[in-house]
Amino acid sequence: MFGWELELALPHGGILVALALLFGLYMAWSIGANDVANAMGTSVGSGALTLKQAVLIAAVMELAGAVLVGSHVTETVRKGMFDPEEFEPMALVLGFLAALLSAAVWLQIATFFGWPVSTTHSIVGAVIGVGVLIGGMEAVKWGKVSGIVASWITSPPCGGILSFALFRLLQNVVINSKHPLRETYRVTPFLVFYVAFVLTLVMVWKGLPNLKLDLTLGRAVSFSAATGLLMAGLSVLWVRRLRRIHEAERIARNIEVPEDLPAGIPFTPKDAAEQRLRPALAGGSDLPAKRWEFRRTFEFEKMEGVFGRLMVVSACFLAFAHGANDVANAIGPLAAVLDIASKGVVDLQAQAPFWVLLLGGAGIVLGLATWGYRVIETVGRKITELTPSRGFAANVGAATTIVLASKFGFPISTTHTLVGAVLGIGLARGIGYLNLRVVRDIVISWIITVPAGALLAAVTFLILKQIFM
Amino acid sequence: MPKLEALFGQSPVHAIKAHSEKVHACVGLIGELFEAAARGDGARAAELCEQVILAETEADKVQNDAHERLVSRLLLPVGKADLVNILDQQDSIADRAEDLAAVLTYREMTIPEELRADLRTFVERVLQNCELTAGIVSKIDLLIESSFGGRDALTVSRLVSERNDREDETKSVQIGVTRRLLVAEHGLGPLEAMLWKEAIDLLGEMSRYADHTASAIRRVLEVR
Repeated sequence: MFGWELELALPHGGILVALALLFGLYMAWSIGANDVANAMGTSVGSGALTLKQAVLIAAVMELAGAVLVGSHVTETVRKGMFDPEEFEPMALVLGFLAALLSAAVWLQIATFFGWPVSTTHSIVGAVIGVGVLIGGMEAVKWGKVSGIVASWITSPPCGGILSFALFRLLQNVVINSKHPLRETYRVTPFLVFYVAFVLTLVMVWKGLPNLKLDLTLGRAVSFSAATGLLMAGLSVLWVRRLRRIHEAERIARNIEVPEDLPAGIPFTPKDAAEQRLRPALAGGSDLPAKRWEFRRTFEFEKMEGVFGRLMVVSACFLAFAHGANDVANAIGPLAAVLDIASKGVVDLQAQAPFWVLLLGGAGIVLGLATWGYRVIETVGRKITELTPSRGFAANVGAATTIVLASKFGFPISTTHTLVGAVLGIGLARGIGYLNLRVVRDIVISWIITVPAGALLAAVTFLILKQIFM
Repeated sequence: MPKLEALFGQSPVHAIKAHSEKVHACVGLIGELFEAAARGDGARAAELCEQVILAETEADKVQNDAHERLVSRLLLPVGKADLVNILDQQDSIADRAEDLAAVLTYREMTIPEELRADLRTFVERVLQNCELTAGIVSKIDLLIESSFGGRDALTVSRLVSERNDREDETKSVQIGVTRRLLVAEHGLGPLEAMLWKEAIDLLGEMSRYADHTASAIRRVLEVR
């Protein structure tokens, strides 16, 4: 059922397929090793997840994203950017092989020198490069390519706007309210509903036919809503339990019932000489201002605790989105090579086989397990400024943008989108320090990576042609 | 790959609180130093003066670190100029404390009994004013959590208003003390009287800069 029967119809077919598998796996490995940390780092850094749990969750969600939604982007990379029918089979196989190899090499070089390079942009650049070299300028569907480039430029602002809006909402409804903790309990089911709804929707709406996951929009929406409601219901039970625990701790720590300070009562005693202010400010005070501070601090602490758990939910969402979008970078060219090599003719009509997506997902998990966990730890330690409430908003904003782009077959950069989302939080005055130099790196990456990837792929193609043709 | 973690660093906003702690470690020595000077214990006063100078240097270090971290391409929740202003005002408190420590140790001084109580009340008041400011600054964590807006910003701005009111009262207390010192002379030599006058002025400035620090914090709040 998976289409394992691989009859090779091209000369050197065995070697070519082996090389494609090797490079494809290498790409998937490097994606898993480096990029997954973006999704899981904050959860590990804030202590909401142990490293082991994070790796496990990331593996499951990345694999699910790659297999369930990854096919759309894979199709774009495989055949969306030019008309494959106009090419010779052997040239196209070598072209895709060159694209994979050059993208992998380029990433290695860039990582070594610390250049800002996106995996997605490299592979897209490489595929365009070989397309132009083999078929000439007119072979490439420039309309589609410009759509992809536009999606690169729009995706970070999209993530930014969504995260900004979500965080503003949290600010107005939760953080600036009289009782942040109480409001947190109240909004949690809604947030859980949203994540579960979007996640289920992208899975079942026009998903994989061979898994019977190809519902129409109407049915998909109602199914997703039902799933969302179920998860929200479960979160209500969870919140009730948390509420009891927090209440017990509040009483144990002798923090008074959170009431707002009545207007007109001065925060500090007027006759300070009598009130002996100094010991009072040192702590354990019954000054109204001090009591207010204790209460707010307690509520914020517990609020961030709840968001720490919600951030795990959002990290799952982001890992899923990442798997959906980035698996194509490794699997798109690989699937094309396998398809052509087995049929001997260029006929990319059939969908990329399920097992190839699975292979890509497995490659990502492998990268995560062998190297990625270390990166997760490092990233988690470095981005502690991203507190759980901020991390949640950033993850959800970015993940929503990424899954939507994936659903429409746009290969975007997940890291760029997440950076955009974090900047959105920063614009809402949510983060103490953001280094805008990264924005410059992103723009540079837009400008260099595609030509560099294309050029390198062209050179690689010519070399491969000398060897195999 | 562009690194997500490259976006983040140590926030210079947190430095306001770290700096405040150093400044108020410096200010905290002034009470004892004053007592030592008033009872004519020159050795103890000189010792405390050394400590004040050391504490002031520490505060400067924190301030310079924060300034260095304020590179140009930075997105902060508060304006860069406002942040620098808060740190500068706060640092002036420590500077004046250092000057005061020096003035109190130039020479051994005496103080008439009828002035001592007056002066002591004034010193205590100034120290309390500084601590009230420290209390306001310590709420910066809450302000960061609530993005310098909303309810927490409103409460802090009310605290700052109260602090401003106290400053007005402190100014009249200062005028009263200075007047009593200079009018009666109390058998003090002119040099000693002028040194006490300078000490009172510096105390007043400490309180004033502490007040400015509080006001500078109010300026970054987003009270709707």
